[in-house]
Amino acid sequence: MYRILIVEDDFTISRILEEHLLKWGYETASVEDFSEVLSVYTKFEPQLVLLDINLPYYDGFYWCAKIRELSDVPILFLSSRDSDGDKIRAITQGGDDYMEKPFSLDLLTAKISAILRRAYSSSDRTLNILQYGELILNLEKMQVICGDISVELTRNEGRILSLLMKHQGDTVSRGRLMQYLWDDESFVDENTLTVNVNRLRKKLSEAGLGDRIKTLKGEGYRLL
Amino acid sequence: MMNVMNYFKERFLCYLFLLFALLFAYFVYRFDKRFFMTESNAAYVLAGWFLILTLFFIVDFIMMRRREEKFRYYCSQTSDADPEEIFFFPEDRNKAELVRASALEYARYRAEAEATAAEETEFITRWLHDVKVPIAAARLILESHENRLPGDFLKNMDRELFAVEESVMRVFYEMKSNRFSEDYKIVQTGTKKLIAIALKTYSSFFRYKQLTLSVEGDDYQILTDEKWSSYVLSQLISNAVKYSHQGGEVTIKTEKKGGDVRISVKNKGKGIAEEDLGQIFKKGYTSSEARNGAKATGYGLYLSAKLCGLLGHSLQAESKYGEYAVFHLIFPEKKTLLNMTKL
Repeated sequence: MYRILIVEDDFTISRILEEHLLKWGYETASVEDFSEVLSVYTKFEPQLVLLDINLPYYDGFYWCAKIRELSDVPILFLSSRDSDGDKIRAITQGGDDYMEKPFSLDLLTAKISAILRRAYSSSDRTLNILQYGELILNLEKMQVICGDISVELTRNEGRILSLLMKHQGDTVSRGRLMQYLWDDESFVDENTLTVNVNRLRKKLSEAGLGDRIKTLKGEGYRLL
Repeated sequence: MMNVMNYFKERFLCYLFLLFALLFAYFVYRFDKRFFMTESNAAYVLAGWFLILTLFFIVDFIMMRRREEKFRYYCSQTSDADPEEIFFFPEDRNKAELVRASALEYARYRAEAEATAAEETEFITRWLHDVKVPIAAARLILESHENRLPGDFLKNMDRELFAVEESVMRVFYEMKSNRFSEDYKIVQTGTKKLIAIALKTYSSFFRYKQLTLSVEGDDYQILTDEKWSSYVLSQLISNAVKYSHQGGEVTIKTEKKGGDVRISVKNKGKGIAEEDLGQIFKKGYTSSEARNGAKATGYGLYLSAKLCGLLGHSLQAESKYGEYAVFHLIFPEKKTLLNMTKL
């Protein structure tokens, strides 16, 4: 279980982050006294820090530098500041990534797991693996593994499956899937999503898993 | 600058007086028979008189010119040196006092105005960051309750939140456009990437309105600032979505004509009335009829056109009323660079 420290002064946001990350199997702690971020850090010893920039007492850059004096723990900045200057500063001062508010929880968790994977996968192989029932997804190789059979997935199929798996059988709306798939280089419309889901279905049956993706009309998809 | 012409204009009364004095002396001499002077004496007096007059003219002209230069120099310097110490002539002193007083007044006014503007800018910038926090929180609340909320509620809240975000972004870009030269980066980029960035935030809206989106054309390389031009493009897409009928069609087409690359965003909605077409890029202009009850601020297109102007791109609109509206964002090959070097 990975420990994530949340340094965010908006109570609503930090509470939702905590709930969400807890659901996804992370252990979290939030800072309450923002003059004492460092002592919370040393006590909790997190494997990842979510750091806001606009904080009372000192800003996020200050705490980033302070933490960097002690360790190389991955730091993910979360901020409403959107100038390139701030982003560059965040990265050059030791941050590993930067997310601008408002952000989506799906994207945040994807980034968190990517960062954890980069930082710890040499010592922890399970980071590359998602599991739901007997269905196993290797995120690094984009392979579905079921028993002895493994099937290669394309990037989009892999991302759809990973989001469905992370939601552990909860319904994921089409909009949410589309939002998750859209990135800077390509965009996804209704048809592309349908096609990708159908291809994924076929590949899962090929892996001997049968039809595992249930369509809920007008709502979305969920894993069975 | 003081020249001979202006000098005489300034001194005409003085020279007029001299002329009258001379004429008076001449007539007195003429009418008084007992007053006699030899011809050589008369010539002598006249020549002497002219010599003195010329001398006076030269000295006076040079002095006046110097005074003027000194006064000009004093005005151009914003020093607050005391005029009493600098100027000899009382008139210059008085004028300098006036100039100095108004210069001081202006400096004070300007400092005040600048301070107010800087304060406002700072306040708005802070506010922009502040307001994003509750928006982000609201988004997170919606997202984490997604499965427990009725679809309509989610959709409507998403729309309203998005409207807030859009208008926050508009303030942000308007503020930035006034300080454009401080914050831009021209890079070579692909049109496909720009379109994808601009489309990203609108994915759910295409779904809500059940619009068909088709993206046509190849990926062309262009020179632009990604952030700014994708914002312009997103405004065009936003409008296209806003003014499409439910279940309508939005087409984004990329073409290359000559050296120019053109991204066109077309929607089949009500179109734009002909009398509106020339006005839509004006500040605060809203259509002569309210379309679909959508609220128009008349600001999105104005800002887009302004940004395009700064980037050296151009924005054109074309429409057939009742059928379609197309906006073309054009990247002229060389103009962008030329424009940038001027900044």
